[in-house]
Amino acid sequence: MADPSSDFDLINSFIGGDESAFNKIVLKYQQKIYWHARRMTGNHLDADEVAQEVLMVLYEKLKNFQFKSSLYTWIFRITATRSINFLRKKNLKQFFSFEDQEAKGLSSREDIVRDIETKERLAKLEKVLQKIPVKQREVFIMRNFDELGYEEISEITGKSIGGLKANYFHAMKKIMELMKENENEQ
Amino acid sequence: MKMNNKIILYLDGQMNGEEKAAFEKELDGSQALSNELKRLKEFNTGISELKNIPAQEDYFVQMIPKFRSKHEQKRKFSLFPGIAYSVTTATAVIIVMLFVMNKNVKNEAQPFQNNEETQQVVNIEPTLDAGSLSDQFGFIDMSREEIANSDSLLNYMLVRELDLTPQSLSDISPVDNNTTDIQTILQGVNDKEADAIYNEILHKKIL
Repeated sequence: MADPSSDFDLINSFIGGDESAFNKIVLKYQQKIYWHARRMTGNHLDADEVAQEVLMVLYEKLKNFQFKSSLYTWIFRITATRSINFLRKKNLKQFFSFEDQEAKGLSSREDIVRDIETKERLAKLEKVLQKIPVKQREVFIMRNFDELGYEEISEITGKSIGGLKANYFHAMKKIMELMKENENEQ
Repeated sequence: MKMNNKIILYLDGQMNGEEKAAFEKELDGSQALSNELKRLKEFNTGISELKNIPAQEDYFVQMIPKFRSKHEQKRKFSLFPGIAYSVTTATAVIIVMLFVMNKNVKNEAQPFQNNEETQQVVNIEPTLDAGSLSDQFGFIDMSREEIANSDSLLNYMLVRELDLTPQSLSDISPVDNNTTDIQTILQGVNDKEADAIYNEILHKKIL
């Protein structure tokens, strides 16, 4: 987790009008923001859109930050919420066929991962993750990739720990089933 | 509980000491369970390897400049909603004003609301000529020539409205049976009564 005392100074500097403090905050958290969004959305272009949206919200709301939670938790909460909202909007667009297939193909081609083997493994995982419900996916990502404990996830998402454990359990179960299916297909 | 479920809880640390000991004992006696556990551990290792993926550094270097550029655009564009709001409000106010003004004009134009207004019409009537009255009130069965030849429009209207025939005239007044001269009838009627009859005729014809 990030150093909270440093975050405190950076926020105060930003509130005091120091724009470079905001840049420092972004540099510190941008990878976490991007990769969480990436695993939730399953492709680079969507993750980039979510990440930019998160930065916009951070910039607009950081001046009113009340230090009730750590900056890390707060940023994660924004990222998680924006990712889910983005997926909802995307599903709606797809339902009404506003998004064409060409754009869909383009989003899967463009990537910031260069290593082919890593890219393939990531694509395989993303494919599996996209098949599980959003709430289960969120807990799975936070537990396995963001290395957050249930209490932290509970603080971020506002869900009970029991509910999160159940979601994680179902996510794992489904992922194992999907993996078995993939193995059988191969 | 199914074996798979226990493995998930075991690896996620959701078992208490007692449950954990029982599961490990079970694990020692089951090769299938051990294989399943091994598979899941491998999956977790695979995930760990995907935690820190080497990615294009350029993308993250460009993230802040990209944000700054978008933010600047958004700031410029944020002026537009203010203008749009002002225009919409002004249009709404104009529409409401036009509606209110139109309503007032309609109220002013409503005729014959009371006797005073009727009286006003009666008073201005003599200034109109017979032809224009015919056009205005639709006396289509009366030609302009007929109106012109009659002693007066008032006479004509009275005769028509009262349905005065020689017989009926003889019933109501001692006049010559061969004439329908309205002047003779009016001689027996005072001014006030004549006005009342006239108003009644106008009211029936016009209103």
